[in-house]
Amino acid sequence: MHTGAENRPIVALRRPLLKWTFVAEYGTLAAFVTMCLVLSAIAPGFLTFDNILTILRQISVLGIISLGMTLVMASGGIDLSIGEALDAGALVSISLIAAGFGAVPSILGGLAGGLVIGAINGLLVAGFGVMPFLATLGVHSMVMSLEMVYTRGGLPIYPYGGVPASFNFLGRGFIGPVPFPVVALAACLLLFYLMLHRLTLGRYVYAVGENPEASRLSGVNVRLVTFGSYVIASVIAAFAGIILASRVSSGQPLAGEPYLLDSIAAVFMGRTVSREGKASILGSLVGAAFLGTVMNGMTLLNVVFYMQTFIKGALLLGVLALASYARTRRT
Amino acid sequence: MAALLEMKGIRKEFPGVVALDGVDFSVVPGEIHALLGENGAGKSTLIKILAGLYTPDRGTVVFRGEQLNGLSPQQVQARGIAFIHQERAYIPYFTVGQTLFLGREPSRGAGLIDWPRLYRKASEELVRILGLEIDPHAPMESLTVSEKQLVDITKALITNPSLIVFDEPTGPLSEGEIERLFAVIKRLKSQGVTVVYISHRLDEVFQICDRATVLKDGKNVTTLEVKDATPDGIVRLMVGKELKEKFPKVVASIGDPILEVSNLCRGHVVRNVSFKLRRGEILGIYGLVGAGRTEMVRLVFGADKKDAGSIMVEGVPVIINSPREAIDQGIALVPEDRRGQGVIVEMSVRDNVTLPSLKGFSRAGFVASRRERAAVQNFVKQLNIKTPGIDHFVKYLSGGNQQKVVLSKWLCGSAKVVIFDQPTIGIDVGAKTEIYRLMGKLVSDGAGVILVSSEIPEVLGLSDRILVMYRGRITAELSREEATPDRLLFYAMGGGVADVQ
Ligand SMILES: Nc1ncnc2c1ncn2[C@@H]1O[C@H](COP(=O)(O)OP(=O)(O)OP(=O)(O)O)[C@@H](O)[C@H]1O
Ligand SMILES: [Mg+2]
Repeated sequence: MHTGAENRPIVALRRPLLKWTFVAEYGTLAAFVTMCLVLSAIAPGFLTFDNILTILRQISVLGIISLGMTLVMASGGIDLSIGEALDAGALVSISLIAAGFGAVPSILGGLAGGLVIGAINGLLVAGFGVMPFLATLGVHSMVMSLEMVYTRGGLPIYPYGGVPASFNFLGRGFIGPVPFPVVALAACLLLFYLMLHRLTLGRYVYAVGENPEASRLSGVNVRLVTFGSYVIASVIAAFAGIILASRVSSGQPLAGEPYLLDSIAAVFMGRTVSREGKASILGSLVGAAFLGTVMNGMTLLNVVFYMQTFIKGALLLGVLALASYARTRRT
Repeated sequence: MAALLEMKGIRKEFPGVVALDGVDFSVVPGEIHALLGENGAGKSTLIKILAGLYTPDRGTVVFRGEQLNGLSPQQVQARGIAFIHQERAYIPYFTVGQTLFLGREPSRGAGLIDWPRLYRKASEELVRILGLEIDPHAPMESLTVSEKQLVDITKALITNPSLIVFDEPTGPLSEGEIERLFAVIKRLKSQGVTVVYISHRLDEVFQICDRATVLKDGKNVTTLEVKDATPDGIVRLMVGKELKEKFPKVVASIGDPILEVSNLCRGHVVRNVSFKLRRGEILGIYGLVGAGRTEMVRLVFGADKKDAGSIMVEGVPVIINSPREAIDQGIALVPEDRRGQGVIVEMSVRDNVTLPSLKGFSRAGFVASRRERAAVQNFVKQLNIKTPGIDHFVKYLSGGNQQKVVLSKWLCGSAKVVIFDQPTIGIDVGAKTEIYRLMGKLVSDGAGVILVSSEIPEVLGLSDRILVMYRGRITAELSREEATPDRLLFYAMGGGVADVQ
């Protein structure tokens, strides 16, 4: 005990330390929970089993993409072409279906499309040392342009010969009451969680992201880790694209665009969940869930469509501002 | 005499650690006051509170009768206090001139910087203050660790402060540079400037300090007059017990060559270096800063590209083009630049310690956490690393404890050749002895150790054989019996070069 007279403080400064530490560590989660509570109180039908499944299905594509973004950002980079990797998955797979191929070769083809984009990113960043922002920005604009050429100015691709049932299942199937995209999200989550937080690879990814030189001197193959991160991120984005294509039974060019900023937002929001401010799988899931829930709630509340992104942006900034401020006040 | 600086009842708590617990620190005008204590005793924290970088939980800071609590770092500096912090931050691509005048650039008015004047003043100040011949146009990242340090000191002194705080300034400096710094400190003292001096090198304290305050575990131990104290006495106060041997030399049986390096070359920095290291041997490498020792060992470790040269491990020629290949051959390097290359500050103690040997702690790619944790715990205990837990981030550890994390990293694997580049910089006396013991253990287990050091007593006390480098070449090889401080210095300064070539 330090209350004895001999230890009487000369000036007792206020100690807001605990409070801010709490906000810094749990603020985002608390905001998320609060939002859910408010929505269950005011939005009819928010807290029902069906609606929760709907939210999960709505965030499945964003969730999966955010996992890839988490990986790249943990390794110290960023992937601005992640939306185009999604498009590659969707357009290649649906084109193969339209050309009469079966589900399996079409899916593999879609994934290969993502792989090519990831490999180009990885080569530029890890091989040539181009800054990640610029490298992926360049790939982003090139692939976008190719998409427009390929779809003759943005015409969606419809498989007129019909879609095999097994391909259909990816976007529209159910396992019990659970939509398949939600199952896919859960599986990817597990996979990425293990990869980033349990495998040696994850350790290397964070090490490279924080200090490439110290990592290199510790024997980490920095280039391989960097290259691998981009490839994995693009492949998983292509997978999300295949699910999306199956959902809408068509290939929509530039469908991936909106996911870019949302996935970055999800990762940043997720960083405020982790104690030391690092990108993490569970954090990004919270981020994606936050964004998905906001959108769902506004639909239920019949918020004017054009106000929706405004409110989403405002909430996002609010949470980030609070969490960041709490962090500066911590020490 | 009225105190110039009076810190009273300072308490500072970090999550999981009480760094300072009611510390008093009082400095009188014109003195050189040493602040001593083991790694993690709270010295840097006390200084950062003075600097306005941390807010104390309790306690007051009074400077010249004015209370400083709550002032910003800029406001504190404006009161005439300058700091050379232990962990230096600089902008890599800024030039020396820009760094020196950052935030107080000479102006032409209208916000325009007067660049010619800035660079002219920069060269003048570099020469005036420390007699440095550094090009003010050179980017910071091109300087050696010691040059950066000297620039940092110059930067602090430019403002003509009345109190200067040095937090371990001599770590990266060579003997000559230390001499020069001390001359400057003495000159400042004669001009009435007051100095607070933190160092783990007690000889320095006895050379320049008037009084010393000893901290232990965040509490005052005592404040004493240096002239009434003895080094052993101070060590006892710091450590809390008697230290028996300073350099516990283990004489291991020396066996076959374990590492043979021939004709290693890289540009002008490493020229035609050849040597052998035997099993059970500690090979000291001495030289002045800039002699090419760090560059040479980096070549052996594959950290830089060599122009020529070959390496044999246990008599077998090996190809080493990357650190990974060196590690796979059983070679480890404890680098000189701790924060840049040694540790990853934004990761935990555990992550850092096992990074090079993570494969050994994994099964099918999965990290075997229990085994990993046990190994790391073991090092934390063995090296007495002060941390609330192994999941604590390294950035929260004190400087010396970070260095111990770097050492653990390389002791954790199963290296046959361990290269230590200035391993004891910033390490307290107790931990130093512990590190020397570990080196002894390495060699008695049959490994070979290369010890690069600028500290003559350390090199002499531990090495079985000593190589001296001068301008990228090995200029002398001395056995333990032949080596004396004078001889080391003679060869390190280029003496006898003619008869080697
Ligand atoms: N920002 C921080 N967050 C958490 N803990 C900290 C922080 N800074 C210092 N500490 C802890 O406070 C204690 C005192 O650290 P400090 O850096 O003051 O030691 P020091 O006496 O300067 O040691 P060294 O000789 O190794 O530099 C240590 O246990 C350290 O881990
Ligand atoms: Mg310190």
